[in-house]
Amino acid sequence: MSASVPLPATDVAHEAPFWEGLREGELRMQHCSACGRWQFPPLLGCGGCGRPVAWLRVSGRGTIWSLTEIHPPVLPAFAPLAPYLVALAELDESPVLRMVGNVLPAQGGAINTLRLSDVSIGMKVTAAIEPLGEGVFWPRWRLVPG
Amino acid sequence: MAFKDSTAIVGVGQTRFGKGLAESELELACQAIGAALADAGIDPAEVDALGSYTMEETPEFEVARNLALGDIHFFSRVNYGGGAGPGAVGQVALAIAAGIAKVGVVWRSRKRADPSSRVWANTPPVIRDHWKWSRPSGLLRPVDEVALLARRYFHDHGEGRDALAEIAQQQRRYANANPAATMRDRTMTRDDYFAARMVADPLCLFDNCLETDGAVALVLTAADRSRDCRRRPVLIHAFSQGLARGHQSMTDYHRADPFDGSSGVTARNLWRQADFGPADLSVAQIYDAFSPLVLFSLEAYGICGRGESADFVRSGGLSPSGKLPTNTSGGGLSEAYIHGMNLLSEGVRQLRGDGATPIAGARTCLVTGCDSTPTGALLLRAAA
Repeated sequence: MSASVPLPATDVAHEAPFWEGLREGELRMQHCSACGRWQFPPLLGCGGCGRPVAWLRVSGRGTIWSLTEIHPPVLPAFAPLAPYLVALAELDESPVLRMVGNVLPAQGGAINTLRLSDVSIGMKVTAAIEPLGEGVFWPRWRLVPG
Repeated sequence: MAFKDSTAIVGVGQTRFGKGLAESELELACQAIGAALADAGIDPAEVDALGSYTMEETPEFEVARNLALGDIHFFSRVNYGGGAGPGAVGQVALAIAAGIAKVGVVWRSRKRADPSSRVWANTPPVIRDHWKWSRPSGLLRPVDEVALLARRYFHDHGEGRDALAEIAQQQRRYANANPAATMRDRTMTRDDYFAARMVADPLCLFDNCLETDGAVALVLTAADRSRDCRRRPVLIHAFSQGLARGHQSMTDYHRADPFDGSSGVTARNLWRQADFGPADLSVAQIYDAFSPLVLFSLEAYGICGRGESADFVRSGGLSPSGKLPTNTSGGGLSEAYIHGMNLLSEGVRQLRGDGATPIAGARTCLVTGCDSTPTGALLLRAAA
């Protein structure tokens, strides 16, 4: 059992713009100009029509589609943090752009700062791109005040 | 080639279910298969087809030589854990219906009671498969993935933990009547349910299946041959697998409508083949690694309308006297978790009239695989 947070492999050719974007502080998503479809996770081509896709920067703004509060038993790296929140955020650009991430207060903080009673489905969030490990970044979802 | 009703399940067998069983997975597999062949009254040397799950660790050749099976003409394995069971049965049935094989065995044997054997606990330090998109954020276990869908479902259709409690309690009541169930002696009240520890909110301990050691096996043959077997045959009326367009296993929330997924694909193809519809089902065995999968599947297979399954459950729909008695052995939540194979054996028993809680006059049964993975389902029918 791994003691550190498991990391995503970032050396997959067709995903390179996604991971590069995160390293540069941007969230980039695949878009098909032929059929207008956005998609995540990245695929080799458009999952709707099979044509090539382009990478476009997205706003990082979205809403909470769902969330859960994780309780033990968990992997050792997460044990000191439990219970903690994990959400699925739906990006403003498209209802099918949904990404998993932790939920943070508006001012940022640790992934176990908020409790379930602080967050509900439909709340506005914005991506805070943070390191998961050496050279690997991922968005966390920061609540938008108001 | 007409598939409908051309094959039958003629034998079921199982080991005892429990934690820390002494036997190896191979011994358990052979015990269950031996019992199923004895139940069918078929000589092991007649078996010429084998089917199981890709996650099964007992090889076909070990099973075959340890049980003195005959020459084998067909063997297949189906992927995706709890989504595999109906597919494993259906593929062997297809081989028999096509004339490639004559007698098939489908089995699943596992020793999962040891926590170190859980798949999620063995997440690698660098994730190369599709779990790379979720596990680094701490969404670690299958229950976490189902919890996201359950909370969304409650948001869309109304708070439903009381319905999950009713599923858990009803299946426990069935288990309390089943001498083979690991939970036969342990009752569950509504207070017990709501006092249980949270695992992935809104899902608590009792929304999770049991981790069990044990094995279950089925014997299949052609319908015309089945009339000479020891037990009343149960016909395989229809079969489909399902993998929805754009599906991602267990984390299937990137499509526009995560509640119309691989179960819906399976269901539409199943009912297209069938001579009867959802309202004609006598019983159902619905894959229940987690209680919300029962809610989602009731809707996907057309037993309830969209958003109506919680009320169906609350009104006692799953009970012996309800509209559709479901998971009548206690299922994965309260009998044993043999990756859904014990749902298949219970479906057969109900149509033979020898379930632990027999449903009077049962003629038809739906058996489903996991709602969250590429999946499959069978419609079973009692022979006339």
